[in-house]
Amino acid sequence: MSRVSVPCHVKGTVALQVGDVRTSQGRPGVLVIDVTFPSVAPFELQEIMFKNYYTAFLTIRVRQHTSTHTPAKWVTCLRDYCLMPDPHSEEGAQEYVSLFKHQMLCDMGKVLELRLILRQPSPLWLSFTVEELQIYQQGPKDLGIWLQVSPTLPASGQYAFALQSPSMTFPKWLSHPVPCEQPAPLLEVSPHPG
Amino acid sequence: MLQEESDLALIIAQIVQKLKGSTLYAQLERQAWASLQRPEIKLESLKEDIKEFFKISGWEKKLQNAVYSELNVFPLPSHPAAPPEHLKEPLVYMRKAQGSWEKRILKSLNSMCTELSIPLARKRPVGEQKELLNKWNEMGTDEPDLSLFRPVYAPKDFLEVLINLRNPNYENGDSHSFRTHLGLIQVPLKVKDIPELKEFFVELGLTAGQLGIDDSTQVPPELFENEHVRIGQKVLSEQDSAAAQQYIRQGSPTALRAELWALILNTSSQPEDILYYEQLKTNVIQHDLLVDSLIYKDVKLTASNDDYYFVFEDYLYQVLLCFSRDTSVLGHFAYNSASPPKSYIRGKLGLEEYAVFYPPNGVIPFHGFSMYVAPLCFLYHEPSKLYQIFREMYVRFFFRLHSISSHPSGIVSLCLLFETLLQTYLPQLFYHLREIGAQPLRISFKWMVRAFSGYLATDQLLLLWDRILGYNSLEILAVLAAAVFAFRAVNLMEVTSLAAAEAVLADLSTLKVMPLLQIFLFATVT
Repeated sequence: MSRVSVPCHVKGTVALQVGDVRTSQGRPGVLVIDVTFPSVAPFELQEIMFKNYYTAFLTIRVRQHTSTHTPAKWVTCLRDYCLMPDPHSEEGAQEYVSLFKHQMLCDMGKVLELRLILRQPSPLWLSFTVEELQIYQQGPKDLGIWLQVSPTLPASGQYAFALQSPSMTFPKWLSHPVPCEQPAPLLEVSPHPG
Repeated sequence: MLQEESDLALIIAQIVQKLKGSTLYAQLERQAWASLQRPEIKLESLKEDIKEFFKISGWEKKLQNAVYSELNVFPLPSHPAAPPEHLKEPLVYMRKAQGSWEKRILKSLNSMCTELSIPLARKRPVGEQKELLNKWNEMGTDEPDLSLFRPVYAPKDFLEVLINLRNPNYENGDSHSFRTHLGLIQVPLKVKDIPELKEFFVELGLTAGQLGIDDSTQVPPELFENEHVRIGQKVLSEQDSAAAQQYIRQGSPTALRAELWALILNTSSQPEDILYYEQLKTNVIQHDLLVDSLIYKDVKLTASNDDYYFVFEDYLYQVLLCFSRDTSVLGHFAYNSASPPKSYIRGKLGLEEYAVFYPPNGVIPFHGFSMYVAPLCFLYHEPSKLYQIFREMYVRFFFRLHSISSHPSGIVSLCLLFETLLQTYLPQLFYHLREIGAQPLRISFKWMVRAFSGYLATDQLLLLWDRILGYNSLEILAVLAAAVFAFRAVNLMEVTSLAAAEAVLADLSTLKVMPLLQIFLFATVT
């Protein structure tokens, strides 16, 4: 599915803590990040992408535009999504994550605002957050699907490929396979210019 | 689900992309063209008939083996937004640590170079080339003056780097709290515990037959050994990589081992491969690298002094010198956290078009590197075959033993796994050793870095390496290290210094690997 990035404004993280005083002993285990879309009309959310930094669980709440005059309410669209299977160890700690429309609990038709609630119950980490947050909406539909593969697997040895139409979402690594360069002759040989 | 289908599509696309550049692709194309002349291929069902032909003639099996090999070696495609460094190593601080370690090695190499005023590489004069060609099969008789050379680094230097590895986001207080690890490794990687290891190594259990245990003279061969050999021969005749990998988890009969390993590593003996090796040999003869002297020194210091391996000295030179010049090894740096050192042609410092990798394969040998090759000499006598097997073993397994990464088979995880196993299941021993200043990792590190080569008896070592291939993981090295400590626990409890602890564990050549592993994993009361 092609997608278009939506410009968003990510507000600073707010730590949820009991009491007012920030002690050096305790660290907040819950952070909230608000994401607003100041210059964009309510849109249909396709994908949320980010780089994790030691967040263990993620909850997302969304506020959608309603046609009636009732004030828009916050609805949980993702509950306690696990990013780190073991919060005390490094597994999944710095991974890139994509969350799609079909993983959400509610319809994401007219998104106004998002609220990301990050949880890290382990006291081992000094800080945690999510980085490089990007929100995508559905791109124009006429670009079509770039790759279609027959679902049968190696058992029958079928690798049927149909490249339908070129699209701008062609993954970069397909055009740049792992280089296996031959080194230039060592030291003495004078290289050709250009 | 939509997500899984697109993941699968990505994996298939990646494998097809890789295989398209291989000789197998060209061979399959040739075979398909040639098959058109066969009577059973009909135009109206061309695709199906050719597929049927491939199935019967064994080419489909070869393709399956190639796909299986790709799945084993290359990591799955990661998130599309992840940069290539992320595929090498996801954790940023480990990448940084590996980068600074590499800088140190290069500095050491460069300073040795300038001290001795030897160029990194030079073209050999014709006379010297002829001489080397004549002496190719007996390079061991050469006695060049290597006294001024010293190895670039030894395993204990690398251990110091790993001990100082810290995650900046981790609570590393100076005072000991529940956060500091009791062992030497202070990074919180995820390692398996014994229940998970039992599940992972289920074929090593007490109810399954093992070569290394159930083939001893007291056990009648009808119980296990004969049947196992028969199955092994069947696997070899079917030429199926995946079946061979599953089979070898219970050990490989000595007679079948060479072929089984070649099948699992998916090496071929086509004329192109022999030609490739000959080309590398020509490169060795034409150019002399500084790294060659390091290899000479390493072989003379380690393998030549070993009772089991000194006979293979000449083979080691033939393999390692060619290995340094093999640029196809550069491919493995896509999933290795290390990066090959770059050098620039004289006078063109900083210009990317004049950058070359030094050595050509990007791997700088350290003290003990030749021990990775030595055990293979027992299995393969033909240099080009021996070379191929070593290269495959290196780009699949051995590179993880000397680069800093968070991979479960990486040396950092192996060290942490060893220390965790020891602390959890032998807490008294661990505490005692720590109190006398003999941290267990200081003794077992050298075993794991060399994959126990040179420490175990050769037949036991080959049984251990069978399991490394079978499970496609190096974790068994850490388990064996812990099992050795468990075996000698009584003696170790009585020592009072690091030197004495080392003396207790100095000689492992009488140990039987498989009983130790079985007892530690499956028969220890916890």
